[in-house]
Amino acid sequence: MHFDLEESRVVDMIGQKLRRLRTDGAPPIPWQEFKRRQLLRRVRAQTEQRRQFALVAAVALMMIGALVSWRYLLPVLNSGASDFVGMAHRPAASVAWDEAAASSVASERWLAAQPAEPVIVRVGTRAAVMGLEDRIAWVDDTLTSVRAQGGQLERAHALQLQRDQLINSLAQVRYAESLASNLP
Amino acid sequence: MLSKSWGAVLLAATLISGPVFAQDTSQSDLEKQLRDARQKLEDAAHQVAELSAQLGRPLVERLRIMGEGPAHAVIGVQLDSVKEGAHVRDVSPGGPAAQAGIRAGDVIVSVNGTEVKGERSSAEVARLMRPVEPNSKVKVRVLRDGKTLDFELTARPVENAWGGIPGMPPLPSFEDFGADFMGGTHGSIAGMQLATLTPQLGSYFGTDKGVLVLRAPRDAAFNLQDGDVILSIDGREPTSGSHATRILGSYQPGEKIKLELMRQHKKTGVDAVMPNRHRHHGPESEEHEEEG
Repeated sequence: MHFDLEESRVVDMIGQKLRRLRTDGAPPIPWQEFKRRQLLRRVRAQTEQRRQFALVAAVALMMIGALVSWRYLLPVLNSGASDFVGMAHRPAASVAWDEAAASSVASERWLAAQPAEPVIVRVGTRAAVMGLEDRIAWVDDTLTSVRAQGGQLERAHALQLQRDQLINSLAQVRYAESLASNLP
Repeated sequence: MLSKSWGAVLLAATLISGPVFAQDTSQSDLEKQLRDARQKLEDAAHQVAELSAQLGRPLVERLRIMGEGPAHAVIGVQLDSVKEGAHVRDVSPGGPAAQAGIRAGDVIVSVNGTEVKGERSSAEVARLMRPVEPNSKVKVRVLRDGKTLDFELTARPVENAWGGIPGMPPLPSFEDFGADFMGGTHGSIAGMQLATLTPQLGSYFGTDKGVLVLRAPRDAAFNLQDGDVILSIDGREPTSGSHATRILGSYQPGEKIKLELMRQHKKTGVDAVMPNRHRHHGPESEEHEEEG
């Protein structure tokens, strides 16, 4: 109860103070100026919105353009090349093929340093190793024939890339084999 | 790419082995986890091999249709023609030539007694190889550092590499090629472990030749036991674990095989049946151990 009395007294006091405020002073911004500023702010916001929309549209158009070029123009440009070159140079995977070629040299060197077989031969893994070795032997003998015929550089190139991939796979499988063989 | 892949293998190995050390598990649990990890490693190795083969499918099929490449058998060498003969540009890792001891830089001067020289020498070697039958011996003479050396190679069947021969219908699908060769040992014998016998090991087991079976297949039809020494498989004497794998891989599931073994210091002949090609995982080893 005591609290209610005090609260009503404070409210009355604030009311009296507000009633005593001067009303004849000029407002900080005249109404016309206020309206002008509001209009200016709205125009600025609309301009910014349009600018952002234009930017997004430009980026989207660029992306669509790039996709169209990739999808339709590249095959047209490459249409003159033979099927074998197509097999060797898949645009999306060309980097991977280059990496394969570079690393196959190191893989072959590593393979040359390995013993013919691990001390403990796990039949399943050894079969996978021998499958790869036989494929590489086929590719090498075929490369000899293709090169001997002459003028078939694209085929030889495609075969060489195939060999690089097989060599890298063989190194990986032999690595797994040696790892498994060394486990207790 | 290779280093990334190797990194992935190492990461996989770490991930596989990590929990082993992290968990407070019993010895048998650890052993089971190790067996599982081994199986995963082996599965990954098979996958790499099979995917690599599939990747080369379009090119290989095209070349085979065009009749390119060796007819029946391969020796695994890349050759160039030089005045003295066929210069060995590269040797296939693990191929017949590499196994016989031929190296890059050698110059082949004769094949099976027929001399090759001049600017057509590499084509001549390819021509001489066309009638060579798979698994037959090929005598190759090379020049190395001014000296003449003789080698005897065992030509491998083309079918080992890709299956089938051009012009011989029906050609199986490429998926079948993979299954035919690599799947040849995917069955119950895939987990089999072998070791080439050294003289010391041989004296312990009472023989001076053969391949020691460290872990026999679980399949009872295969009729092998741990500690057996395989002396011959249908009359073919395996000289190494790889050789035994190659011989076993040449059988179809369900085929009968005669094995000559040294079992507990006694020569024994057993009849075996090549198991089916379905894959087995961890439980195979577990049951095997219980049997042992």
